[in-house]
Amino acid sequence: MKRRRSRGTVLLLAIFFLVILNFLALALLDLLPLELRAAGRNRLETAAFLAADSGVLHALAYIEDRVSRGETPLPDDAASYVLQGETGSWTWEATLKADPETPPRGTNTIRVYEIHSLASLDGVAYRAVRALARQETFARYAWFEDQRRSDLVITATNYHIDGPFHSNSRIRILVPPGLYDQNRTPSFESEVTTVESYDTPDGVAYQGTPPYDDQGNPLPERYRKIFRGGRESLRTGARRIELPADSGALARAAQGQSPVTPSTRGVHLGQDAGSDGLSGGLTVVGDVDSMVLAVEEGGNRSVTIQQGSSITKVVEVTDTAITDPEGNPVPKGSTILYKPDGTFTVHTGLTNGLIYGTGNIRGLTGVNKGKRTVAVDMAAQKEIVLGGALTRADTPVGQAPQGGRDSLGLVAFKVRIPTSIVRTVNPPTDVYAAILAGTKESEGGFYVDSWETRTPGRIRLFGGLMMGYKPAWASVDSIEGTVLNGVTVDSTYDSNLSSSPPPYFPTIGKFRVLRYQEEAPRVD
Amino acid sequence: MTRRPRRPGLTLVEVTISTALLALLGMILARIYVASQAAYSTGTGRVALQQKARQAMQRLTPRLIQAVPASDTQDAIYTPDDLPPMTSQVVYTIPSEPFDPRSPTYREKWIRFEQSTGLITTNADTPGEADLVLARGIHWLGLEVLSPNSVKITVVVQAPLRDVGGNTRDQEYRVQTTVMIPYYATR
Repeated sequence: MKRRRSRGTVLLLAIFFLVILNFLALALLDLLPLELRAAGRNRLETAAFLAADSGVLHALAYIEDRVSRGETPLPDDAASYVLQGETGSWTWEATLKADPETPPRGTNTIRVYEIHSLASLDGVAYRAVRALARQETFARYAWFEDQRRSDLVITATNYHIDGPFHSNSRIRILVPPGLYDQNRTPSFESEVTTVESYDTPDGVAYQGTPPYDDQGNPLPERYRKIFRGGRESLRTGARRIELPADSGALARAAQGQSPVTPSTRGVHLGQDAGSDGLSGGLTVVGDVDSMVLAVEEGGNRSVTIQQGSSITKVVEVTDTAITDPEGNPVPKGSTILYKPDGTFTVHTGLTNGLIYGTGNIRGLTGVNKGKRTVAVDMAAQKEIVLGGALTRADTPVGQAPQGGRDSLGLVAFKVRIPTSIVRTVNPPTDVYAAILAGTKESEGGFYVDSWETRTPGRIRLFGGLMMGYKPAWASVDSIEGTVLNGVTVDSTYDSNLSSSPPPYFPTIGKFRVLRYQEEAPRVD
Repeated sequence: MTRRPRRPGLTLVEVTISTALLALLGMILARIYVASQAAYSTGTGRVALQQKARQAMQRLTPRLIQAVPASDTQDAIYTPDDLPPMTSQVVYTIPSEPFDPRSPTYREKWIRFEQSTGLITTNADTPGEADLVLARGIHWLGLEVLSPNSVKITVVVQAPLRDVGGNTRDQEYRVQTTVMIPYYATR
């Protein structure tokens, strides 16, 4: 039989189709990695962000730990300090830098650090973030107590604390009959933290009907009549927050770069060494009989200080240029010191807002403009005694502050309301300030003189009240909670004091991040 | 001289059948080619859509993570009331420049989308300057403030693309993410 010759046509055709199909498959495969890449990039982005954020968190925890132990986060006064960490293939490197005002280089009690965190994958820099962290101050609290007289109650109907509340001890709340049936604003609008607790289901001692049942189960409707956030906004066993032991840091900041610590009775400006420029605030040596804050014509701010028959006035040309008593122009950004002997000096620059007294400051009153802190020597148990209302230029009297331009801080062992202030419920005495009175475990606090024997009064406080010791200001009916005599303090929290605190206000160990930005490198 | 062996020819039937088969195969091949072309152009079109959506997202997220509340009682980001229909917007606060950390001031920024123009815009960093365009040709931008420090972003892009069957229809691509603002004041 004759064999047929193979001509290879089918083979050629098969190869031809195979090539065509291959091309098609490749075209499809070419699309597939794009989808995969998109998903992979998404995952990478998230991981990079978390790694960079870990660096910031690491740095924050480190700063808070060092500062709370009284150590500087930058060892040996170095310009920067690097922290490193890793998770899987990701590593981060967080670089810390202190701003020029932060100790030990600067004198500001409020520390500021810049954190630059760089996240890398297998050694390749991938994402960087820059954060700016500032130390929190006591001005973040609406109400702070280190200790309180053990028999004092917080009467739910009389108190309205609309910002953070913290106690280093424990609290007792008087619940008047029918409180839970009323349609009312809660006594505590924000978080309530206490370090110690009573042996009760929630750690608070209630005088009257508690907000929990016989088995100790919380009754949400009742809790919300006392705490805005219900049971969850009350926390006992919180970390203790220590008040400062003294105000030495404020004294140094008021002195500025002046080489000599002021010691002669009178008012001293913190001056640059060897020039007329200002580098600090005011230091007042000796007791003060009256201190009046004011706003001059043209909007410039001033303070007039009387010590016996000596009167000193300091005008800061904050808004409008003026002329001095000799007719010479004084430009904006200058400060004039009018001395008790009738002479004056003109200085370049404005004060740093600090007024520090080595003695007691009595008769403090007036209108504050800008940021100011009036402080006295707390270690020597000096006090600030109010002479009347303390208001602020950017807010109509009686209204809650809307902005943060003006803020006043008072720092003393005791802040007192004397009997010389006319005591009435209406109108009340208005005080716009963050008040820190008292040191750790001391009798220092916010006091109302002769509250038992004087007519009832009311203080309308716009700011915060931080006390070493909470004394009695009034007596209340033990069941109804109505005020029998004394002074009530209506407090309205000024949250601006938290974000923009009075200068050099005493700090706590926590830091808040004010700014957070993503930076190059970033791989897309 | 030797006689070359005679090569067998193709019969008419063979030629007809092979031509028909080749024509059939050619047609199949042409269809496959057209279909693959359509698939490829659809695929590349979808990739372009994805890139457009992702680029828009990447321009939004770094801006939003900068948001910080001006005070403890204010939100870092919020949705304004009474927005016109077919628009979306968020307003957020960022630190003002120059920034003094001990006495900070803040200013408001916004990100806005209008479906009629397909533009995502934001206000300029310097007051008085023209608004900035962050992305164009966007079909929809969803900006949902979930909590005081998180916002869900949905970017939807559309384009007319030819499918495998040769029909042209709107293809949609949607990318969604939730931006967590890392540093809310009271963390």
